[in-house]
Amino acid sequence: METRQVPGSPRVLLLVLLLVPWGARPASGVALPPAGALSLRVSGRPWAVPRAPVSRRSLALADDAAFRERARLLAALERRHWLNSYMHKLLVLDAP
Amino acid sequence: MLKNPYRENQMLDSDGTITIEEQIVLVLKAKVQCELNITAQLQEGVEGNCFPEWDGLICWPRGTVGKISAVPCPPYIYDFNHRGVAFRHCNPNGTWDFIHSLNKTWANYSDCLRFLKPDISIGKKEFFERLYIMYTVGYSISFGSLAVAILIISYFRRLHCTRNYIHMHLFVSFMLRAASIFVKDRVVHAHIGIKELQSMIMQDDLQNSIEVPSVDKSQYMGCKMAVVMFIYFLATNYYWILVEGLYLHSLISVAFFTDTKYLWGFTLIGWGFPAVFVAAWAVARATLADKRCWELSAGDVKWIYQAPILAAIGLNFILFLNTVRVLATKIWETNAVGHDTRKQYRKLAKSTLVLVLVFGVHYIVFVCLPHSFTGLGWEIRMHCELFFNSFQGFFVSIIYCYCNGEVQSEVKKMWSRWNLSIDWEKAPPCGSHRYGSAITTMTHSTSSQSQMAASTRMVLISGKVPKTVNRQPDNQVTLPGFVWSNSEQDCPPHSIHEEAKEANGNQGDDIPVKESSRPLEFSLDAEGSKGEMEDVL
Repeated sequence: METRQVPGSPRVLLLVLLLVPWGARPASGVALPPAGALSLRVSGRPWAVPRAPVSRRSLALADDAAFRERARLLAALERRHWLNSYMHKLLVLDAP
Repeated sequence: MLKNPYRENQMLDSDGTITIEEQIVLVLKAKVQCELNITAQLQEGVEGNCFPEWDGLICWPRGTVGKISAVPCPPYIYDFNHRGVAFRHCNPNGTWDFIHSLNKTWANYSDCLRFLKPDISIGKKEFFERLYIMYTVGYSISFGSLAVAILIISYFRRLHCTRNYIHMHLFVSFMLRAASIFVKDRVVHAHIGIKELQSMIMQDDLQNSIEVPSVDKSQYMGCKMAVVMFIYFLATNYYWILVEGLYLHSLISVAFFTDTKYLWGFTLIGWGFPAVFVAAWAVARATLADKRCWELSAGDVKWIYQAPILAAIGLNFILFLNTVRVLATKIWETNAVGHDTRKQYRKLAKSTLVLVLVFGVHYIVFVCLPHSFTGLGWEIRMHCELFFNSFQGFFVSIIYCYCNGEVQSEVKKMWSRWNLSIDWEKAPPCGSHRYGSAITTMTHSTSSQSQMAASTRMVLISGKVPKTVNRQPDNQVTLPGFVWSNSEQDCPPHSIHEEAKEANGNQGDDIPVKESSRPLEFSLDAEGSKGEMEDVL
């Protein structure tokens, strides 16, 4: 006897809910940059309008999120290291 | 915080950061703009004031004699405090304060550098280091455990059937996922920190240059491949978990389910479909956001691979719910454990727990968790999620291989054979008593353990004694080391024949093998599906 299961509407709803990017709220964890730090480039408009803050929610897979966030941290450290060296080379700083 | 137009203007990729290359581009653009402004101001020709100049970071306007000039920290320097101010002093003689010993103009940038403290990043770095160590250990254990499981299942030909082929595909996908993560960690992060760019910047080239420094993109080819492979094997793993769910669900739901016929379809879903959307993502990434190693997140492009993976997780969760529902119905309907409700619940709980690990239900739990956590909440969540992700291969290998009745009986048989062959070599030639005891044991034994022992002894005997000794009166399948168990049912009969042939050829046994009357396609009624499902579990 065939007892094939057909997904009903609540299941379809659940699936749809799972696929919705829940990116409205900002998530400002330790590994994240300040919310809304970057935005999409809008061609022809040098002063782009503010957009919704970038959310970590958009990285749904943990392995991927860990990889991307670590890469972002390393990129930030690299950038800061360059800035630090560059400033010390060019300027006399009253910096801490 | 002030809005930063330079950040708004950045590339569409990089969810929240800019790279060193982009930073340099911004500085160079500011420099070009500054030089234009300086030219315009010099034409005004005001005497006695300090001249406007570009100091490498800030475009200083004309200074008033004897006064301190204050300029807002430039927004094009990503790491500056954009609410701060930088200072310079214009001397009464109309020149900027100059320190002759260092041959540099004095400036105060301390306000701009308020947030640029190294200790802020130390905590983050330690967190990622801990995470890296934890998941590397997890994936390593899973990799080793799965490799052994694959060897075991491959070695025993009797275990070669559709169900185990699907398990092996899943094992391989877990191993490739682990391997791709190891490769990615080794390759990608080694590329961050471009030597040539840094050395160029540290010379005076940037100060004198007005062109954007270019980096050879071909050097990133291997690194990009590592990222693509990481995404692909991540996706294939999720899809093979889905295939396991589909297979199990088909077993319990579809009558006349021909698993061999579906194997190609499952293989296509497991390896083929992820290849399509990962290739689409790679093309999109190369076209829209071809930056460095593709290691930084690229806006909404990532949904090309994330959406199908989330769909697989969601579908698998639905299959899980339905499987548990059917399982519960069967347990209640068939009174498999009598009328004891507690036992029924316990049995259901055990089966569900196994299903949770096999179906990867934890994925859906983490996907549905609210993401409004900050700091510590996110760190704990990442630790938990990556712990389950990295150790899932290990758990799956335990469930599908090491705790599998078929596998255990095969290993035990091999172990017994090995032990007895050693005994045989050591034993004195007067072995008639031994034959007798073996046959007696075989005849009178009822438990599977003693059957196993008996049949393994038969292997030894069969090469030495007349063939008639081995004949079984009850027409049961009698193979070398055969142990009857429920789990034999769903392995196709051809494997039994193959093993029988092999055994006959290799060991010189001449053990009669009765043609199994079971058809290849097995139908599952309510009772049958329960037994089948329990086998799978």
